Amino acid sequence: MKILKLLKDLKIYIFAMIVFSIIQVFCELYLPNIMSDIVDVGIVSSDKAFIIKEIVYMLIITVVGLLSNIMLVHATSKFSNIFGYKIRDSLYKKINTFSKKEIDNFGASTLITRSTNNVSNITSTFSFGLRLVIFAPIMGIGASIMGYKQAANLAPVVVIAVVILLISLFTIFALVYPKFEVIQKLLDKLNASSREILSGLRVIKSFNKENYFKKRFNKVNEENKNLNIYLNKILYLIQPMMILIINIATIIIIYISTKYLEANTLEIGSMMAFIQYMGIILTSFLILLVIILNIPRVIVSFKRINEILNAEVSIENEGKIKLHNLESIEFKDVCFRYENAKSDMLKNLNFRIEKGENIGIIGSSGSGKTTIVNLLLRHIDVTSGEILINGINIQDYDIESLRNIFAYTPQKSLLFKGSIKENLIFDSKYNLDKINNAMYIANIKDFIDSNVEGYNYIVEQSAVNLSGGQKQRMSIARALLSGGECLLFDDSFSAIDYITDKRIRDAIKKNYKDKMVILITQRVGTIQNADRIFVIESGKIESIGTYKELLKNSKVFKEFVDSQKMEV
Amino acid sequence: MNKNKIKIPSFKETIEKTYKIIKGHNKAYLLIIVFCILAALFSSLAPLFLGYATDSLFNSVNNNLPFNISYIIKILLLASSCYIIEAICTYFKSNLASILGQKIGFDLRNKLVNKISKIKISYLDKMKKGDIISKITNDVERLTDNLTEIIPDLVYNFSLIIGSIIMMYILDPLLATLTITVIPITYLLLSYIVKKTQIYFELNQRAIGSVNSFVEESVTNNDIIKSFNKEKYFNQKFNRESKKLADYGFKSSFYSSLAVPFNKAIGNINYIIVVGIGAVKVIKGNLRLGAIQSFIQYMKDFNKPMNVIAQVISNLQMAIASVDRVYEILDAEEEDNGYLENISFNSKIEFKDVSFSYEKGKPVLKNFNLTIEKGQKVALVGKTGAGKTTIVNLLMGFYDDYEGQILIDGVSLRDLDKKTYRNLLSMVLQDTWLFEGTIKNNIVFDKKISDEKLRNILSKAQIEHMIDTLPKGLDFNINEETDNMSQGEKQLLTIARALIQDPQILILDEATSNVDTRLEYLINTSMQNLIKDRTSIVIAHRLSTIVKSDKIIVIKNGQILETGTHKELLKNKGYYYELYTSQFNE
Repeated sequence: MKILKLLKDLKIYIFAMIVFSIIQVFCELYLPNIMSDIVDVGIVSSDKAFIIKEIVYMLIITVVGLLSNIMLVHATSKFSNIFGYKIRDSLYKKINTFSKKEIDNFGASTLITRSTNNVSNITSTFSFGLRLVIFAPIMGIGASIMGYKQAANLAPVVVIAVVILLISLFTIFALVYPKFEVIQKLLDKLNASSREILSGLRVIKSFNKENYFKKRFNKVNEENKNLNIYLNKILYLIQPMMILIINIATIIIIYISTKYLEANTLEIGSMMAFIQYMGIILTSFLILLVIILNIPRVIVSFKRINEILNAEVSIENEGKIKLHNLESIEFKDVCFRYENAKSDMLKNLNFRIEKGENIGIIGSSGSGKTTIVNLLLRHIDVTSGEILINGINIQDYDIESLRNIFAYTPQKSLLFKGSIKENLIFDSKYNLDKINNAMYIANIKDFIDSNVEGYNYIVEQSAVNLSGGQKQRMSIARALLSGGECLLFDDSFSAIDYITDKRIRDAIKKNYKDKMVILITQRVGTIQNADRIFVIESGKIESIGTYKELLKNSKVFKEFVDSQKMEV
Repeated sequence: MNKNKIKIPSFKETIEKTYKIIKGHNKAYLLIIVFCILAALFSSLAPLFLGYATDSLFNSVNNNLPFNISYIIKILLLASSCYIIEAICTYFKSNLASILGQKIGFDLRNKLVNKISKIKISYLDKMKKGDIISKITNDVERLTDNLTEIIPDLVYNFSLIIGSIIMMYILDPLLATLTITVIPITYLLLSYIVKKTQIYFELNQRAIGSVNSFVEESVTNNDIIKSFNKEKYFNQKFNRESKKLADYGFKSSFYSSLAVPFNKAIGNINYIIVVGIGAVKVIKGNLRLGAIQSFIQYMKDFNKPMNVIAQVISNLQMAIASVDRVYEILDAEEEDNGYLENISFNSKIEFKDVSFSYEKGKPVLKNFNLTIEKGQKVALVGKTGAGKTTIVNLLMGFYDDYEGQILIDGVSLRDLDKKTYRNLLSMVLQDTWLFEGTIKNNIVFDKKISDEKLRNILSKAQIEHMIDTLPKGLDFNINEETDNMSQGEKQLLTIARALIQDPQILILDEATSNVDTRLEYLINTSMQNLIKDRTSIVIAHRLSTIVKSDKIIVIKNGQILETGTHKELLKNKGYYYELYTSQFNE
């Protein structure tokens, strides 16, 4: 398991836990020993000085025990939290290497629960469990040695009790274990169901469907409740059963002892001591059991985390060539098909774009425009055919240098929680003039000027405190600042009114004359001045030409123009 | 994060809140407590019987008599039955507690979800989605796990303590009193630890919330992180959040588990005192040797529960942190609701001097006045951020804290029962929200409607064909991420959804911005038929979609700039003219 590799640097904590556990067990088992000395020597010979001396020993042992116990608790807490931190970190890093395909395959909500819920499950179980896992066996072994010394002939009873215990534990374990995965899935579902309600609240309210969604939630909630009740019914058998086994074993020991006592092979004092040590041995098992109860949960969490850590990333950075400047982009017979889809999303695309060209791509939604963008940015890879940049296959380039070539504005303007400045340049360093200039071109400079906080204005999660248009313009500015040589706009003007739309395009034209521009849209007006327009219809290029040419030659394009110009 | 900023609810408040959660289950709790006491009783009876067996053995050995086997067997059987009864009672106790806990958790989750649909939207806007979800799932789980175990644990262990105290006093009052002084010392220690660590539990929970939100954001924005090559940057950012969580996690778990070693040490010191003083007493002849032996046994019975209680207290802290977090939702202010359920819409909607801001000091609407007559087709036009969507939000009754009045047939919107009122309206939003389920589910929700009738409406709206191209048609299953459809298809479904409601007032907020223009053209033609007998309010950037409106309202900076029909406004050569010409003349 990859996850266990993370334990490598944590050996020191485990070592510390073992050492402190041994010290503590010694302290605890030694106190009764001293007590019996006080009784046998001190009281019998009425030696007060001896008693005081022994009491001082006991106090010292107690203090040592306290200190080692504190160290033990400290080491455990440190260990479990650092472990959790390491898991989270490697999970998050791994998720960041995922391509679109893996993210879609896993699904957003399970990725989230796995990197939060499952990890905290592991942390909390380890922080109380690990200490006991180490402590209990040491305690049990210590007590076994002492018990064996006292009355070896009673040992078989303990062995039989332990065997019965183990058999019943394993039976219960086997019964319950598979259900734990189901519980996790239900938790995912609960998550998804509440997310659904939260994100659709306005729609739900406006349709007065609160009750319908409550019912949907209720169904998952109920399933979760019932399964938990069923599981607990079995799990809660364990504790009373174990105590019962210990107690019955005690009774059997007393009964058997009568024979040994008669035969004078046992003394009463040894029998009493043996019963006490057996109590300790079985209590160690009891403690282990509490841990065992939590193991399925931890294993499920481990498994789910491992699935992410072990997931193969479909697009790896295997290219070696660094892409420094852009001369041309060429699609050669490019086809793309989503996994399990019945037909191609893109069919035999062929085109070539040169540096400095201004290209418009128009098509209905679902025609495959965004797929072209995803292919260029290598969020996905072609099913057949090839994409060439400067004449070299796109897959031969180092991904980072490839993505640097594009100044990309996505369809959904996704911003992050944080300051506007952070959203624009992340951790890059730019001077203010450059940022101001990009904001000016994207026509959003006035937002900064009208805000007291300026670039330090905090964008909330999901950018709820910005309007759709502000978000789009912000993400255009972000793309411009990335400095890519190909400006790639994926329907990035849809929430911007036409005046602003034109203003932005004019400014871009003026400032980025020599760059390649690819502008994907549904608005005819937006690409009126493009050098060439590609008309995409159900994954194929219907026609290529200038605005005027297409008006004459393209049926699809003409429909677009007509629909947008009705009743002028 | 600043520690001082966090307000910790007082312990009393939290206990009251906790009680509210378990209220109504008194009988179940009583039953659980009865089983606890029975279990404790039978578990302390058995050693008493066993003692007699030891006595009998001891006598026989000492006096060289044969063992009284039948007497011993009788006692052993008696003890065994005590143990068996104890085991049964313990099982019943745990099982009942689990069922109760699950029920409470189930109710609490339903309550939370129920509450969410009632909370003021402005309040929810300020909360993180990931945080709310983690309250519904994680915190409730922590609560049910702990609340149900804590109370029976406390009862069981208190019964054990009381039993052993009685036995100790019978044996030796002085030693018993010395032993009992442990209680106030332990109490002081525990309450000190609770006080010190509560803040870390809160901080820990908060850190979990931010890590959740961070991961959620990164997963949904994965494209961007990749396209901008910012994986490393986000890894570092996450690392900081994650480290914070690890730090608070360590502090809360370390400080709270300190109770255990200290308790053990206190118990040991107690043990030493008993042995020391007891030994002296025995030498002086004031105490039997056997009494010390029994006393130590009872002291163990007394101390073990004390340790368990210390552990329970640390669990209680976790539960309390979760109670507080859950109550952040349960105590949230609810949407105001009017009392009028008899609502009619026969003449007009009026906005009178309405001013509104989402954030203080940043007004979105300023003294806004607008009248919409019944049957009118009104279009709202303006730049992004002008306040168009806000008008829709107010009209839907999502926000109540506006100044001025919104009147429906002369009755203030604030006085209307929201549910009944919302039956009048349907809206289609820019944000296409669908949920996991079939297409039919997504269009009609739980409304009972025949497929035939549904298809009839869909075909009128030109949506039927699109649906039939999908595998399984109306029964096509939209997945959890709702990403197995295109944006345009999604938008069409939300339009269909509004049409099925057959509302008197139809609101379209940029409803067609995601549908490609050819589809939009088709929809628009059928929409003209469908809004024929309805009042409609349309927000659109594409002016072509609104030229037929009865009234076009041009909004700028939260105020009305111009009003009129398309022709009138073009004649005015004002702002609208500028907008319109910019769209069609480069």
